Amino acid sequence: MVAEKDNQRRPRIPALNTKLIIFVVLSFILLINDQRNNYLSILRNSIAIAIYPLQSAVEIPSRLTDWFDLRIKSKEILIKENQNLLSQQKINSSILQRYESLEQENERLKQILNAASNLDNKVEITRIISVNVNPYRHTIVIDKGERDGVYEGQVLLDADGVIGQILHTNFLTSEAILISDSDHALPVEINRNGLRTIVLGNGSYTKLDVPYIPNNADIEIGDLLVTSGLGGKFPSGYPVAKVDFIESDLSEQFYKVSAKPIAYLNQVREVMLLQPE
Amino acid sequence: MSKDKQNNTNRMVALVMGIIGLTLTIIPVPQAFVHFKPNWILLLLIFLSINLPKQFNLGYAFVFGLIIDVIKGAFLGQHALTLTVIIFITTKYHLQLRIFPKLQLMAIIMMFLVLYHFILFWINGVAGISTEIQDYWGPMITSWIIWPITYEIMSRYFVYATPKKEV
Repeated sequence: MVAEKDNQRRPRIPALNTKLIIFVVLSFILLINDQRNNYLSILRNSIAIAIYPLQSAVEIPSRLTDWFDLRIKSKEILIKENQNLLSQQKINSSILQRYESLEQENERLKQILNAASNLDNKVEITRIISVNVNPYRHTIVIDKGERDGVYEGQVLLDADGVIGQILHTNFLTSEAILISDSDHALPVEINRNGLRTIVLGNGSYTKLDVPYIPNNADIEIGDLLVTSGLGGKFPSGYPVAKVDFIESDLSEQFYKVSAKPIAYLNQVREVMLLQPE
Repeated sequence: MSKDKQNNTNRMVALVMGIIGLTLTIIPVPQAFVHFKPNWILLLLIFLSINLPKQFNLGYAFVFGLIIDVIKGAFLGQHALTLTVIIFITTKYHLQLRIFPKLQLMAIIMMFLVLYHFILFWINGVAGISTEIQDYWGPMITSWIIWPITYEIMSRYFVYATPKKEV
């Protein structure tokens, strides 16, 4: 009698152990398949679409402050800003004039050399909708996806330089990996003398590693590193980082070199997707 | 309140809490606090599995885990596996956990948090992603600190009849 009553009282959870086994096995299957092949993109995609409203809702406050900022700014500040921008624009267009003539010259030279031109790449501006979702990896989510023709490996730039590349695409959003992620490597060359090397991310937004520079190589602080186009993913000639630290240890085979990314990796809100030709 | 009505209310409350938890997970924070974001969904699921284990157990943990995997861009199944394991333990021992004094429960929660982050760390390690071990302490500590507060808030909104009243 007592035992029966006790049994009734105790809220038993039906089939707990079975459930554990089922879900653990399911997770393992997902984990293994997610790393090996791409069958699971449909599942990932549908979950991503389901949480898209949440992601956009989270963005509302920052958009609102942007909007208020624009409305509330006084006329004087706006005039001042406008003047600054105009003068900046003049400077830029004068530089651009030179650039255009250089580009034409380059084109002519390339025609002589019979090489393909890749200087005028088109870009598409996109918004970052969430950053730092995973503190252990440097990834961002942007608001363009397969619907807009984004593809895996597409290059992301900001106004100053290379930011990263697309890692996964979903239907409406896609996820990009930054060059500062510790799993990211980028083939570059020194703009001054064409010395080729690789830039590795190390998890810091302001510092990239440049390993494998031999002890007798010609490298100086302030050297600009630009993409070399050798990996086949990044087109050549986009600025990546500036060398800001060199230490030579004669007992080692290589210099210890680090570089500061030119793009503000943790401050951008708008980025540009490089369009294929 | 009838049993069905009670279950429905709890389901609605859990849905709202889940959405709030996911929003808090997605919300961008300043750079300095990135490593201190609490694991909101884990806390919610632990609360549910202790207090309403019949209604909310492993299925919810698995689904929420998959959503977090997509949000964080982790491997599909990483958080799902981790949450399933933790929620299995809390559901299995929910009767003991319910009667623990608050301080003792806090200690146990710390153990769950350590286990949670250890499994995540372990899966990352197996997959070959190098992560810094000190990055895992931030969320552990903040989650632990906010646990009593979230517990109080959550227990206000869920309705549960204690087993004694049922008999």
